[in-house]
Amino acid sequence: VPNVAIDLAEFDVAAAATMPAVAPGHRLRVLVRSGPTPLGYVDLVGDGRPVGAADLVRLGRASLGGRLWANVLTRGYTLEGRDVDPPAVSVVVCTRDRASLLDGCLEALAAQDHPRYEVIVVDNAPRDDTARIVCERRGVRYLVEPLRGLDRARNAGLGAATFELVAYTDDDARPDPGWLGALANGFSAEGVQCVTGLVVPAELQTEAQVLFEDAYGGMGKGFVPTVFPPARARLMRPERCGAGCNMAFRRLELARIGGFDPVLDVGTPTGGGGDLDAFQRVLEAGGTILYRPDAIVRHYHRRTVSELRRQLYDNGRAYVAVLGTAYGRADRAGRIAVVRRGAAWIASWLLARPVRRVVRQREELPLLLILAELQGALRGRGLLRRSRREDAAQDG
Amino acid sequence: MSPRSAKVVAISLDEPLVPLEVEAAYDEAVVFVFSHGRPLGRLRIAGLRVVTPELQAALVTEKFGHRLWQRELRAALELAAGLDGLAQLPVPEVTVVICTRNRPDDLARCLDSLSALRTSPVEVIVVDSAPSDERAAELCADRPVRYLMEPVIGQSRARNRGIVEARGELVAFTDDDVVVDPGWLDALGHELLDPLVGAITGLVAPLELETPAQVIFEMHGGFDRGYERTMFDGTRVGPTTSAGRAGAGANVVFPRAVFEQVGLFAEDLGPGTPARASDDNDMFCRILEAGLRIVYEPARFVWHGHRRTERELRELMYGYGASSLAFATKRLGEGDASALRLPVWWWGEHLPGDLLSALRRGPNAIPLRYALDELRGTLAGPWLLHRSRQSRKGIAAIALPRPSASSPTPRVVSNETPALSIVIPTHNRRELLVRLLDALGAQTYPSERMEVVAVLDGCTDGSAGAIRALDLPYRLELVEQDGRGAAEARGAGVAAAREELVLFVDDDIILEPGCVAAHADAHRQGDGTIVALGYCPPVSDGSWWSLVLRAWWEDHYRRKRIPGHRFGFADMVTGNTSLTKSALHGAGGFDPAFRGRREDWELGIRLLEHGSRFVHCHDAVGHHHLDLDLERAVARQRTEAAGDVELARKHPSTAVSLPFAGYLGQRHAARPELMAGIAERADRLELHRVRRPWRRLVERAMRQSYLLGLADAGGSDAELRALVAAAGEPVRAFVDLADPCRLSLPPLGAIALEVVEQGSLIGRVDPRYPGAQWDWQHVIDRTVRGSSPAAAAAVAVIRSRGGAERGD
Repeated sequence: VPNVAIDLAEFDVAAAATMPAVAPGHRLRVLVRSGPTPLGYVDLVGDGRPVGAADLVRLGRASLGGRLWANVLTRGYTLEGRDVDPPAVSVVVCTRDRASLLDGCLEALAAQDHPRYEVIVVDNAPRDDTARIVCERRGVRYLVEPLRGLDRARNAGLGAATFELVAYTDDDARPDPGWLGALANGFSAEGVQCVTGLVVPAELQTEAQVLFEDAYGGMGKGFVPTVFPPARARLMRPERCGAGCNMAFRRLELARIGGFDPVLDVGTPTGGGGDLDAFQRVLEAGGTILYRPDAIVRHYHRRTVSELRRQLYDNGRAYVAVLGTAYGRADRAGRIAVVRRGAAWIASWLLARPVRRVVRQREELPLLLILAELQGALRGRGLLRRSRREDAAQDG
Repeated sequence: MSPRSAKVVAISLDEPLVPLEVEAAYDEAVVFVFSHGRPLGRLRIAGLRVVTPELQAALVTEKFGHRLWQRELRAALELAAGLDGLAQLPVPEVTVVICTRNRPDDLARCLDSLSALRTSPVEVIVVDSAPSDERAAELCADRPVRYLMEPVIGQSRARNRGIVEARGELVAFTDDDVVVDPGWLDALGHELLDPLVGAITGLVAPLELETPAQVIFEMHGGFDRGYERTMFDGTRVGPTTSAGRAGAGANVVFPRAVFEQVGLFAEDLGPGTPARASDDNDMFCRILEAGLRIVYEPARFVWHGHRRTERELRELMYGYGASSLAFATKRLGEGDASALRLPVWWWGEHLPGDLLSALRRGPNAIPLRYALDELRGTLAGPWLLHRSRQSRKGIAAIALPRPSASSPTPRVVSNETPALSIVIPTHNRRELLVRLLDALGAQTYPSERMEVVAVLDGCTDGSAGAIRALDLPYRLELVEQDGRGAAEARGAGVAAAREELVLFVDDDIILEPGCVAAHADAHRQGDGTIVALGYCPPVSDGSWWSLVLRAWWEDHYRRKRIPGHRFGFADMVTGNTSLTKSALHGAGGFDPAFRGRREDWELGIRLLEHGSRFVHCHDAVGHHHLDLDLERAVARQRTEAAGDVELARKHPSTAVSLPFAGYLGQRHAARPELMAGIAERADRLELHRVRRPWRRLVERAMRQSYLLGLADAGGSDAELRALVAAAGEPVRAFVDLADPCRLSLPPLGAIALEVVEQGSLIGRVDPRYPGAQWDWQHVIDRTVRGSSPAAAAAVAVIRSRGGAERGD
């Protein structure tokens, strides 16, 4: 079995950091950043010599290109140190029966470089009290949401939040110390209703993790700060805006548009999509989403191929569910947009991948995994209906 | 999708960014970004009410980072080259002409902005075109402007009226619905260094995007012509198709002299006539056709108030379609087949695209009715031109007054000005020689302080007799020799000359009256090391080849005029040049081995080696009557190639700067048959006005001839390579981005320019042949264009780390 693992490291061009030596044949992925701003990845294959900063910069010049330069310029055009303290934030972590993962997340949250924030853990239909014990030890607020469903848990967190801004992350995510500050500062641009950030892998040690990150595309949305104005709503591409383990909203504004949709996401038959649905509704309600790559969260991807297969199956059905709910609330033009987006998704993503894999041999994702997502997509419509029925039953 | 209104804002990167507010009345912000007073580009920011400085900076650098890098690199290189001196060149007098009709409110706004100009015009003329009331006249009464009333309707007629009345050397046009930037007329001096510039256009940005009509107009292209300086050279681009891209009449500056060459605006085109617009296109087209140039300089910008109502916009769209086709019809009528491209573009490309996207309601589609208006316009265009001409019947067009012949201002000649001998080598050009000798008689310089030595080199046309018959006010010496070439003829002339200062004049150059005085003046304070190079503007007969030659020569002289020019051997032209005998003899005189080819460059090298200094005397004017025979010009390339090889053999260090260094490895491509009948083929192409094939044909023939010449000189490819390799290491010159300062380059040897940041090498300009004459602008353009994001990244890393280390 070839060694698929990729070691991860970070390198700050602004601080003259040194890099560890890389063993021959080992692969190393370096997240290059300049202070708080991530600039891009540089991939290396070790030859036994220690990697010098000069090597890295030489290798990175082409791939990081003008981003390094843009970063220097950006700092020149803004007055440094003018930022006042970022506004206070409530951080909501939803969890279920993963106390050891949760503990790591809370540890990272305790190290946030932010003057005023609270952490709320929402335990979703727990089967034991390990999470409660962890929370007590860490000294964070602990809530229980007895009904299953990630979006229900998110809404419970929203209701319990003290501060005006609510940030969400997951128990398998490890926020960077500057994460909360960057998200909170994003709201100083008026009109922004939601700020999302960069998700980078926390480890790439197993085949499944490497496949998810490199072949499937991972969860990262790139290194370019992006504004998604309300007009983007009609493109129906909420997945471009961010991911659920790294997002923040204005509390009242999110409540006004109805919070998260309890029909969606993990714990319901739809298996996901609550975050994307929220992004889409923020845009449709005239809000703007800001993507800030300097709000960094490290995420532990699924370690085994069977878990990954399950996740891609979930992704498939979740995306159909997101489109389905959007269709349900749209007017005629909106429905056309949803159908058009659905067709494009099927053609360019679901069907193109197996074709690329089989015919042109230019797809790294194994057929098994590709088909898992397709399978999820095929069942998505029915599962959404089932989820609605179950939701109605629970509410009744 | 309904059109969105946008707030138009300008932000400058030279000051700290401030939060940008977008009021609720707007859907988005259109941000024009400036740095160092130059526009970088535009940015659309939607969905935000207040944009933080942080976010502005991030979006700006994301979009314009590379352009900012290029600007920084260019600024450092221009400083190193001394080109910053261009901005200090004297500003010519400018007349601003505004044509208006029944829009006093717009006019008042425009006049207000004109009063805030940093470089004030010498006068502002408002031409009121067939007004229906007195409002414009009243408005102008209490302002420092000249008000003219033109009773005949038509914008082009009003423009012509303004031109005729203008006093300034430059005539700047803008429209009454425009607000000009305070820097609109800045730094015009250096544009005039190029005598071939026929128009200087600039950026026309929207003043506001409030109403749907304004948004649709801007979405549909507006006046946007990019953010990079561009030169449209009439000897290279098709005039009809480039005219529209070169600029717009709302922001253009013309040298007044250009109207004497190409005439005034066509009165049957333009607003106020049935043809509605395109008067500016027609003018640009004629300028290009005359082999002149149009410079588009986005730093020269104005804000244009687009029409606010739908009715006005529809009329405008109809007008654009109509006038474009009216213009095409006019051009076709004048025999320009390339004008057919306009209808092909409208009907084959533009309108189908508009109609399709209007039907599909794409995000940037214009509503269908506007596309249909354009279509109707294009169909009506030719008919409207006809009507326009009918309407002009019986109205005499405005004509330019004949330029009054200016008498030469006699030069004050002080006693210290040296006496000089004028040496004229000649070979069978009796007519020109007689004219030249006459012109020498008409010099402002006292005849008793000059003598003329005419060296008749194997003349068989009776030159000697013709000269002897002349009655000349100065002493004339005749030397006759039997066809030994110009180099030896000059040597013989110098030997016969009595004075220490010698002026070489070629027999095809007719000197202006002040020329000799200018030469003498240049040497007045010199220490005998000065080589004064005169200015010989070529005389063109309007044929394409003469226009190409004229452009080549004018570029040659323009480079020498740019402050900070590195004078090298290729600047040495012996046609109108003065130097002392001691400098000439010190360098060893002309080398007869280089007869008829490159003897000037060869002498230039030795003069520079012996410490001579070249200066360009722009007042020493002699009109160059070029040999316009294409076939002979092609043949000359061949002898020059051989001369280049000889030159490299004699002076190895020059090899790298000679043209053949760019031809290495192409020797096998020499195909003499490509040159057969070149003149007839070129004439045929010119007759049918097919410009690009003509240019390709001529360039190919020149290249072939040059390659053949290399073969004649016996230089095998290996030998040429060895010659180039033996040139030795180029002289390294450093431009430090962190601390750019003026470079001084040695006159001889190839230069390798290295760009460094705090001691680390960022990029290197390879010293390969960029043209034998040093051209900073070319070097800078090439360096800036070729600079990769990686170079910017390298600078960024050094700066980040330097900052971190300083911070520690």
